[in-house]
Amino acid sequence: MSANSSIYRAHEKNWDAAISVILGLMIWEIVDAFLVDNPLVLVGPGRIAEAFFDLLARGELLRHIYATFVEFILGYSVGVAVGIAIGVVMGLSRTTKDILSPWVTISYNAPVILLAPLFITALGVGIASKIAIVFISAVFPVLFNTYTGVTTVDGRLVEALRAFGGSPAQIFFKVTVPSALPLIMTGLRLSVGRAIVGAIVSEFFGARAGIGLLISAASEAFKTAEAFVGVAVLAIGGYLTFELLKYAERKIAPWYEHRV
Amino acid sequence: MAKQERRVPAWLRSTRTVAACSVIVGVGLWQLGFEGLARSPYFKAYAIDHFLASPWQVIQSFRELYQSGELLRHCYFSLLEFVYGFLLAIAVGVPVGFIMATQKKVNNYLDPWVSCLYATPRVALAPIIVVWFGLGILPSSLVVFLGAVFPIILNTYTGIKSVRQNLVEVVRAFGGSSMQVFFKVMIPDATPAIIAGLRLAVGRAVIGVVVAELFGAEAGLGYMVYFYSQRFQPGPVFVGIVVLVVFGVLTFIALEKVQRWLSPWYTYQLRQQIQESEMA
Repeated sequence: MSANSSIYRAHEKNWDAAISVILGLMIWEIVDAFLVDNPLVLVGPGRIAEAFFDLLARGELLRHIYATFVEFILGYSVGVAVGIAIGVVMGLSRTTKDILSPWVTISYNAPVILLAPLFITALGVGIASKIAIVFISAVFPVLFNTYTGVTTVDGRLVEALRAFGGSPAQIFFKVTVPSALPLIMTGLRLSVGRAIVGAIVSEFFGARAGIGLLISAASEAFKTAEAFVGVAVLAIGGYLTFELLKYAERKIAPWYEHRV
Repeated sequence: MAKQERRVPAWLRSTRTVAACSVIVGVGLWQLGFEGLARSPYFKAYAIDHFLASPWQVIQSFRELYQSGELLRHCYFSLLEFVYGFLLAIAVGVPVGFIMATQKKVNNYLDPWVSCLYATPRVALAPIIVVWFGLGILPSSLVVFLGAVFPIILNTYTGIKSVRQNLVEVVRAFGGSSMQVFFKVMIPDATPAIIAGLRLAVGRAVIGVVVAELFGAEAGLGYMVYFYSQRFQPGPVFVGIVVLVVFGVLTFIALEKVQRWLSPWYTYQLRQQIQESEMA
């Protein structure tokens, strides 16, 4: 008994998390099975799993995941590249910063999602309009964090390098880039959430395939279980991307203590 | 600043002047470029005026929407949804964050659910919520609530966790009750972090209002944007975006003012710390 409790105590947090998840799912399932018998109002984990395997077997789920994934990857990677490039230029040149900063501030705070219907009018219901929305959703957090990272470089390090005859290129690659990296990685992580929201919401407005379409079409057809499958896929996808970037952050910039 | 012999005078090079010029030139280029593109025969086939509006057109649609009273009606409904959802998020988020920070067991049990929901894009739940609760203000308020509550929970948690323990101990050493510790130390010391959470939540809440209104609403800014974009009138769409940007920025500034008023020492202290680190 004491051995058991010491094992419990050593991993108390993980045990509690596991118990909580299992208990929560059980209560959810029991309420679904015995108390509320209306598949529109409440669907238990069992029915969601059923709908998941059903969608998987029909090949529909993979089609939707693939569409959203392509939109996400293309828009996100272009957004990251452009965001880092403009952020670095803004951080290094004051004139560029002064010229661009009002536009960047406005666009960063604007709900750019609202442009989705216009993008769909301009680029069609296909994948191009979604990539554009993901791009403008993802670009600004990266841009802002890159800019902050480049401008908050420790001046003493730059001075030291300059005193020992370092060229501007050396200062940039040996000081600026490494010390801006952690913040850039934070920007990358923030952008993931925005990019996913951009992809989903623009699919709500009209799409041929994608998780957003799956959710909105399923809930309009009162197939709540299928809609929840879409939400669960998003949750898992978002979590995995987030963890992947956290891992990359620790690998690339291990000196930067991770702030929650 | 060392290069005083530059020909350009200093006031012309100041950040504000350049920013103002940039906005004016940008808007002017937008107007001219739009006129040029819309009139040129090469771009006629693209029907640019179906998805792009010039600044002048935006001003005109603003005037029309304002004079017909439509804009105010939409703003009113969106504002109601925002306020209900946001207040509910504060009323739930702050106590939950506080309990999670002080009760370890509760934290262990709630943490997997909170992290999981935080990682999920909550706007994805909007269609389901609209199906559950029908049309009207309630579903949109709930989507606002879902968007706003998690940043508030997490920041309250961080704020309470980072309350300076030496202050707590001083109050305890002088015989302060736990109520006094709570009201005189924990709440004031966590306030800046909590308000930072509210500021994060504003952006989420604005997106929540708009997305929820797409799916079933009779009024609201999101509805207005959707309605006019379906009729290929981009002017009102941009009006909606501008109104939301102004609203977001004003709320942001108001929250900063509230934070300065509630915890005036915080900014001062922070500024001092920054100055110290610069001098070091």
